[in-house]
Amino acid sequence: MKGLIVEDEVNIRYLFREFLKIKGIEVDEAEDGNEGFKKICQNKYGFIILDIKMGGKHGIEILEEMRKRGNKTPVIICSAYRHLKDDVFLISKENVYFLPKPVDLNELWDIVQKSMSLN
Amino acid sequence: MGGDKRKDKRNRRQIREVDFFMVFRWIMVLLLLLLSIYSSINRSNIHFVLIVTGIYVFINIILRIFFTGIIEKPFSLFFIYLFDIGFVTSVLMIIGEIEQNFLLFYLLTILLVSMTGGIRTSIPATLTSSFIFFYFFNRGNLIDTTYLLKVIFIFLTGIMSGLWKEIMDSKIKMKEEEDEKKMNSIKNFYKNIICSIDEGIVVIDRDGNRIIENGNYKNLIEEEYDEPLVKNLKFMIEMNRPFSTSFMTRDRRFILVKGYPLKNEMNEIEGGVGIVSDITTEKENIDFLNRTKNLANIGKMALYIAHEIRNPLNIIKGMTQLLEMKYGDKEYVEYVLENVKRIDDIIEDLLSFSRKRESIKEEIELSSFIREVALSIKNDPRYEDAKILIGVDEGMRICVDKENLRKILVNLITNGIEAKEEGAKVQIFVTKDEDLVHINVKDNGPGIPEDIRDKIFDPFFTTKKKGTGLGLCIVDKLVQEEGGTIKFYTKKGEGTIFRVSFPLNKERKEVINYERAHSGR
Repeated sequence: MKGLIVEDEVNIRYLFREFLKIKGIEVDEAEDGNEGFKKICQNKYGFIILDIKMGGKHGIEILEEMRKRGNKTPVIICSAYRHLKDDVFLISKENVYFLPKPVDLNELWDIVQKSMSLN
Repeated sequence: MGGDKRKDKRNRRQIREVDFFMVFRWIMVLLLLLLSIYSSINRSNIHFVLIVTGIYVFINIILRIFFTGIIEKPFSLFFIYLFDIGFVTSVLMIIGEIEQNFLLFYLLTILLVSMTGGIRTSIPATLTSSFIFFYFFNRGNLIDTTYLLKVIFIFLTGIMSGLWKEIMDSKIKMKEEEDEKKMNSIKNFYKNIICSIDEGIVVIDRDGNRIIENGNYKNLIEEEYDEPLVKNLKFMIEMNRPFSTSFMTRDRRFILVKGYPLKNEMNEIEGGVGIVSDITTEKENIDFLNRTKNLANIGKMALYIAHEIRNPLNIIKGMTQLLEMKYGDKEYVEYVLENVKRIDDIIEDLLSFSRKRESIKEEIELSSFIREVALSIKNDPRYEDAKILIGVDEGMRICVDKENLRKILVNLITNGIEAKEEGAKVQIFVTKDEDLVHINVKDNGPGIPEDIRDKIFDPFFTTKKKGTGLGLCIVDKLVQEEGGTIKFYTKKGEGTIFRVSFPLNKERKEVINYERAHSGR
C-alpha cells in the first residue's frame, strides 16, 4: 500500500521518497496542506507523513479533520518544534506518531513498518 | 548657637541706637552753640563758650574713637548724659542766661537718654536734671510753684519716654522671638526633609568644608569613599557642572552619586550638594529585566531559526544516513551525525527560552533524586573520571518540577566537573533553614575571575572551548520558574559554590510544625 508525504520542503520530500524507495515502498507527494488533504480524502494510504508548518492547512488541522471524518490512517507528524508533541496527542493518540526534525531515518522506518503492519 | 545670634542682633541694634543718640547730641550741641553765640553777641564771654564747646567736642571724639565699647554699654549712657547736662548748664551759666527758660535743652537731653537706655537711664537723668534745675534756677526755694510744675514736667517726660522705650523694646523682642521661632521651625522642616529621605546628602562650601550631612550619608558612604567624593564635588564646583557617577563598593553594593553646584539667589556658586543612593536593588531589577527581555528575544529568534535550520539539518542527516546505506561507510557518517546532533542541541537550548513549559510540581525525595542525577552523569563517558560526592540527609523533600530540577542539577554538576581539567571533584550538599532548602554544588576549579562574575548568567557568555554559553542562563531561568533563587560564592584557586534555594514545601512545613507541636506535649 502507498504512503503519502505532505511536506512543503522539496528536498525533504525527495529524501523520504528516496529512502522509502530503497525500502521498497511507493509514495505519493503533496507540497502543501490543502493538496495533501485533498489527496487524503480521495485515496486510501497505508501511512501519511505530515509536516506541521506549511502552506494551506497545517498538519494538526489536517489530522483533526481526518479523525473527525473517521479516517484512521496512521499519521507520522514531523516537526521542527518538539514542544508541539503534546498538542498533537491532544487530538488523537491512536495511530499517531511524532518524529522531531531532524528525523532519524531508522526511527522513521520503525514507525512506517509498524503502520504498514496495521493495514 | 541660636542664643549667640540673638545677642549679635541685639548688639547691632544697640549700636545703631547709640549712633542715633550721638547724632542727636551733636545736633543739640550745635543748636546750643548757635544760641549761645546769638546770645553772646554783645558780651565778652564768647571765648569761654567756644572753649567749653571745644572741650565737649574733643572729649566726645575721644570717647567715640577709643571707648566705643564703653559708650555702647547702657549704664555708661547715664554718665554721658551727666556730661551733657554739665555741658548745657556750663554754657548757660557762662552766657549768663541761666535764668532764662532753657528747660527745652534739659528735656531734649532726657528724651534722648531715655530713648536709648530706657527707664533705667531715664530716672537718674530726670533726678539729676531736677536737682541741677532746682539748684541753679530756684536757689533752693522749694515752694516755687513754677519750679514744681517744671519738675513734674521733667519727670513726666523722663518716665513716659523711658516707658515708651521699654514697651518698644519688649515689642521688638517679641517680634524677634517670633521670627526666631519661625526660622527654627523652617530650619527643622528642612532638616526633617533631609533626614527623612533614604538618600545620603552632603553639602560642602567652596573650600570643601561640609556644612550639612545627613545620617544616611554616613551609612551609605564608608570613610574610604568619602574623601574622593568630596574631591569630586570640589572639582564640580570649579567646573560649575552637575555630575553623576556610580560605583560598586567592596561589599558589592551599587552606589549612585549625583553632584549639583549650590547656587545662591544671585546665581553665584556657594558650594556643592552631593546626593548618594544605594541602587543595588534597582540595578538588580534592571539587570533582571534586561536579561528576561534578552532571553525572550532569543526565544523569538529561536522559534524562527528552529524551523529554518532543522529542515536543512533534516536533509543533511537523512542524506548522510542514505549514503551510509549505499556505501556502508560508518566512520565518517558518525562524525556528520554527531555534529548534526550538536547543532540540534543548540537549537533545543535556544528554544527553551521561547516557551514556558507547564510546570508539573511533585514532591520528591532530594537525596535519592540527586543520587540518580549524579549516576546518570557518571554514566556519560566524558565525566566518568570525575568524583561526585553527595552529602544529603535522607528524607528531605521538596516540591518542584522534576524535569526542571534535573536540568538545573545536570548543568551545575557538569559545569563543576568541567571547571577543572584533571582531578575534578564536585560536592553536592543540601542545607536547610526555616523557609528554604539550599542545594549547593561545589567544585574544586580555579574560581570565577572577578571581571566575569557579572556576566556568567548572560546568554552566550562562555569561557569553555565547546560551550554555547546557554547552560547557566537556562539554569537561571529554570530556577526562577520554580520560584527559587541562585547565588554563587567563589574564591580564587579554591573553587566555586553554586547555591540554588527553593522555598520549603509549605504544606509539608505545616505537617512538620504540627508534628513538633504534638510531640512537645
